[in-house]
Amino acid sequence: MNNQSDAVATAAHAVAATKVYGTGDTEVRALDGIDASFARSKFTAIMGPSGSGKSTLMHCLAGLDTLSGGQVFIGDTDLSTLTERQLTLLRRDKVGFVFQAFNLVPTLTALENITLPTDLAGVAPDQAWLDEVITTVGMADRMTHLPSELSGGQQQRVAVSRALASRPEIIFADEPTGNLDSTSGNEILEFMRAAVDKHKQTIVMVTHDPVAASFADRVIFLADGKVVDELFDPTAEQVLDEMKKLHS
Amino acid sequence: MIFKLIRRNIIGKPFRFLLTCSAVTLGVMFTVGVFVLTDGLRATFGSLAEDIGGNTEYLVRSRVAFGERDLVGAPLGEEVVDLLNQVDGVVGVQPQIIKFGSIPVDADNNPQTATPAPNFGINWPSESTQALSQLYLQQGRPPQGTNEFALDADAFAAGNFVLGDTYSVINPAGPGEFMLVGTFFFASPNDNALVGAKLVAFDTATALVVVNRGTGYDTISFETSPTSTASSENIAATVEAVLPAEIELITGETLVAEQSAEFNDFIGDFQTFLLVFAFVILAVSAFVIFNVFTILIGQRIRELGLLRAIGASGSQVTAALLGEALLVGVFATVVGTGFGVVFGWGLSWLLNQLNFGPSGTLVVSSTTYIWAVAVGIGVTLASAIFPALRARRISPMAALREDARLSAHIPRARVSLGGALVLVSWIFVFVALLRGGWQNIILFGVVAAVGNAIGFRRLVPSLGRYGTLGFGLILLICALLVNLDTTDVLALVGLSAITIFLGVNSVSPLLARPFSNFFGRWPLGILLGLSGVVITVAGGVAVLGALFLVVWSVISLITTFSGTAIVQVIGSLALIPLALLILLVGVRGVDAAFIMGWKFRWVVAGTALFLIGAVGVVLVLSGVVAIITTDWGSVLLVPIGLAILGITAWIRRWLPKTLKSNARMARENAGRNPKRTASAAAALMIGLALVSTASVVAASFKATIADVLRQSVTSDWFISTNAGDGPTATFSPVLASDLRLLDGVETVVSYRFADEAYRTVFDDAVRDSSATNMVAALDHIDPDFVALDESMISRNSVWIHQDMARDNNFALGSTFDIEFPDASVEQVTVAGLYRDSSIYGNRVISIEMWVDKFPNGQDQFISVNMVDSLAQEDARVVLQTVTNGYPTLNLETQSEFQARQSNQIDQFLIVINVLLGVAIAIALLGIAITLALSIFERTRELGLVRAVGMTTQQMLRMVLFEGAIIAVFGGVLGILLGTTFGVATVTVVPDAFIGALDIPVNSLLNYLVAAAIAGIAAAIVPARRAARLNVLDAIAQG
Repeated sequence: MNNQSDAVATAAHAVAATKVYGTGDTEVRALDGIDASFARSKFTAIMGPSGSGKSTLMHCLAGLDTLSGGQVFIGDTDLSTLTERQLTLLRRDKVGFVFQAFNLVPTLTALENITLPTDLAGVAPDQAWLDEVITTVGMADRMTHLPSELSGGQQQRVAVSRALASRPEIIFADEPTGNLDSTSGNEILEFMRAAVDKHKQTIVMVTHDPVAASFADRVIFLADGKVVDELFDPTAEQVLDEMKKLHS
Repeated sequence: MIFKLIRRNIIGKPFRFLLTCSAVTLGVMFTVGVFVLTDGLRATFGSLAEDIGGNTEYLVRSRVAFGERDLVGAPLGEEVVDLLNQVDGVVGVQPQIIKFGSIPVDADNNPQTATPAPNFGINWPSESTQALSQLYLQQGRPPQGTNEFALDADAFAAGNFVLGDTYSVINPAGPGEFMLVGTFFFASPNDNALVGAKLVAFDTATALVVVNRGTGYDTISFETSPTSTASSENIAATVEAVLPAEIELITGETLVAEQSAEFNDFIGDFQTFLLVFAFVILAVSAFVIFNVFTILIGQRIRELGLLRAIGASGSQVTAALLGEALLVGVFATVVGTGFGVVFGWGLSWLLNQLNFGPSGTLVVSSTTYIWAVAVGIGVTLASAIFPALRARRISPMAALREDARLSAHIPRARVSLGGALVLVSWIFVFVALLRGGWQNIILFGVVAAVGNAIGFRRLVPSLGRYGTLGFGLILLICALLVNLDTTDVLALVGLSAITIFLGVNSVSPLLARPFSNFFGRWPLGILLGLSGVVITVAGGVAVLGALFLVVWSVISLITTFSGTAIVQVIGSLALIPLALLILLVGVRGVDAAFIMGWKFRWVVAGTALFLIGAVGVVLVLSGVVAIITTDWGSVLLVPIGLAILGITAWIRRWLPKTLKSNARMARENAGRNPKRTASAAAALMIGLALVSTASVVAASFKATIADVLRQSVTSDWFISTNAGDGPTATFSPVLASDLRLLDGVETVVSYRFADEAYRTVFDDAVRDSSATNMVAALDHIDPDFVALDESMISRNSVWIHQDMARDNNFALGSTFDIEFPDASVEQVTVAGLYRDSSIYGNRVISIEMWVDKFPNGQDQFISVNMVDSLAQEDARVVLQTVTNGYPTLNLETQSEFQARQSNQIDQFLIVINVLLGVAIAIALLGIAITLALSIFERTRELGLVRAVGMTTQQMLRMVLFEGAIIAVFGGVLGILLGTTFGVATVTVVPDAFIGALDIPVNSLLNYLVAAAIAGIAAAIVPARRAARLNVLDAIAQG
């Protein structure tokens, strides 16, 4: 795959991505030849029933897991050609993460958690950008607190800030609102939306919540390791309908 | 249900189970090993006593009112032999001679010194009494006449001897040339039962002259004639009736019993010495187990909460945990006993190499098993019981809370109860101090410490943890101030040490965070970097050396195929992993030093800056000292130092501030759960505290000897012997008389000593005493006289230490009576009072009187003054003309003597440190276990940082650094405590033993460096596990 235009337009893409667990009778095809691309400066949601392969796809795209076949790219880097160390560095420099829970290192303060990836890389964070992120997330006065002193929603906002702080190519969020009440959840989603709109960030989010998915520019639906459908600028109702179709 | 849970827990985490067991296993192993060894020794020496005395029917010897009869027994004259021969029914009268200090010199001029057992000179019994002798001829014939001797079979084999040749034998009567005519076995017809002692035998007449210097026989044995009409008891009674009062008659059974009792005393002391170390090891193991169980329960708090939620009672939870502890204990006991038997066998083998071990089969008595069970299961359960009881209080809600923690129970304040308990505790201490006696002090002290701890928590709950520490400190202060016996004071110091350990252990969590924050930065990085480099180099050399050995041994295997060569190859191969391990630890140490993420040039720049800054600090501090001591000239150092500090701080701005997260995470991991860090460090703290105490005491002991020699020894030369040990390290008085005849020798002074020399009649106390040539000694030894009247020096004069004079109101000219072991009484006159007891002890009498009372006495030291015109090396040549006849002697100047003494203390210190090393190894194992468990606990956190970009390398460094922080934390605490206890011990021990205080700063700092590196070594395995975590699995775990 050559194409400059693609490299510019997509932050990440998968080509015939296959992931197989087990062999013979116990063989499970978590990803069954998926082709998908994720546009730059867009907010994409991945949805699907349990076991559809949505988390596996995300893990493989993020360099946390390796494929059995096919390729995944971050920008124009083919992840299958990278060593473990290069994958780590890629995660550090080009990818941001938001998990469902346990996003923060309990020993580090909120600010230290945010600057953790740049600290690990041994480079100074971009102070202006950092200030902007922290201001946007509205937590400037809580930066010296330890995670245990923050509410669940606040912790998650720190997690999103951390993902944004190094200005990665792409941010992966795995059920970021799964552990939150709806008010906190919406705050996080709005913040992510703003990061895409205002700061031209790229976010890929795995979720099973139609409301969360409705914040995205585009939703792709997975079932049995394959992309089965997609929606652009969806509403919660559309997403819900689609999900019902998949389940039936 | 509960047991199923226990079983599953162990099967599910076998690694964790084995780790937990390992600490106890080592403790059990050591204890069992000690018992196997000492039981073996008992069996060997028991049969030896039987062999020695078994042939004897009756024995007469001089009555010794007190004292060690081998050293102070008066000789028996020929008239006693005649007396016995005149009694009807007495047959086979055999005079016996046995004395320390007959040393054969082999053809290569090597004196065949026996260590640690002594060299003996004995007489060969006459033909007619051979039946009741303990000597069995092996080769040649018995010695006859004045210039023949026989050797025991082992001594013959050990040296270069040929039957029929003439050799020099150094006897109490001086060296002489004798022809070797035979070899023999002792006490058993075809096997030597000497346990390392070496025997030289002469015929009875010769032995009387060369061994006992013509003074008489040591004992005389006889038999009763079976054909006599009188019974043997009647014959013995007749003998007893004719014997003078100062001679006694004993039976062979009494002799055997006396011998065994003597051996048992000695073995008992040896066993106690080893068991002290076993105790130390077990105490450290107990800390480790306590620590591990506390962590395990902390980790499983949600699981235990779940159990409670679904209906398990609090006691069921406790039972489950104790059940697990029991299994750990049983496993450790079984495995530890197995290892212990092997270990005991190894110790016996080692001692046998030193000619001093148990012979025959291993003895594993039932007592050993009982101890193994008590130690293995008892210690484990005792250490686990508090964490297990605490687990009772886990609420069912814990299952639902993410951040549930095991909380300590804080009792409600009840001032009256608490106050009463504390008061009673202190009354206990007071009573114990009033009554004295070390048993009382320990017993009352322990009870009082417990009472104080419980009471104080109820009195002031928030300050409860300081109660024990304060109690220990006050005990320590008491020990320093109260006037008690040395043993009692040492017991008090020991008690305060234990209490302070426990107190510090409960306070140290408060220190863990500030410490790791302060130390877990530059200092530790530099420490690790520098010491890591040294160890890497050492490891590299070791690897090369091991490889060289492998090549060399393989070559020798090819050229000469033999069993030894195969063993050499295996041995050299085994060295390679060891050498690689050292290299690995060194490399990891250096690697961990780079945790700050510095590039090489930044490390160099940072180290340089740190050192410059340190110079600044030193300058400022010396300036401050100058202000205090009003040395105004040096006050300028303050601004100079401040300027240097300022400049370094200013330059530091250009050092990159980045990538400090690893270090910060490492030190904050250590600081986050301060309790865990502190208890992981506690085991190492105790180990290093003991090692540091030993170092301080030993260094002070060395300094004392140096001081004594510098201040009180004013003679030119000092002569002592290598042969024997303590009271048996003596040599012939002939040496002194020979030296007096030499040209250039001005004066020669002999020194003799006995632990139980005489009884002072006024208080009926048995006293140790020295004896010397009092007039001449004034120029050789300066004991710092308070009062001295040279005109009063005579055969009946005595010099006493000023303390004895003060206690008994003696002054110059006072007289008192002393009674010797032969029951004779002499009146002595005080002719001098002195301050420095280091050479003379508490009293010294004239050598003239000593020779009368102990005619077989030998010299322990000789000091020589030469005429001034003789140069030192010329003097040595002159003296050597005599001393060369005595190859076991050390002829030394004051400084040479001092160096050898220090060297001996160092060797002893090495033995102690090796034994304590086992405890330290367990402590390190504890650190490894704690780190491994804490990594298990932090799996998700570690997975998270890996996910956001921490490399495996960085992870490795982080965990290694954390290990180093914990180890150095324990090390610093341990060394501080150990130094305190060492100083306290030196202070309370009488100045005669240890008068000068010397803190070996260099060795203590070395221990600290070693602790840091050991922390790295302990962290290697956990760090690898952390680095190899699968990121996805780690995050998914919850």
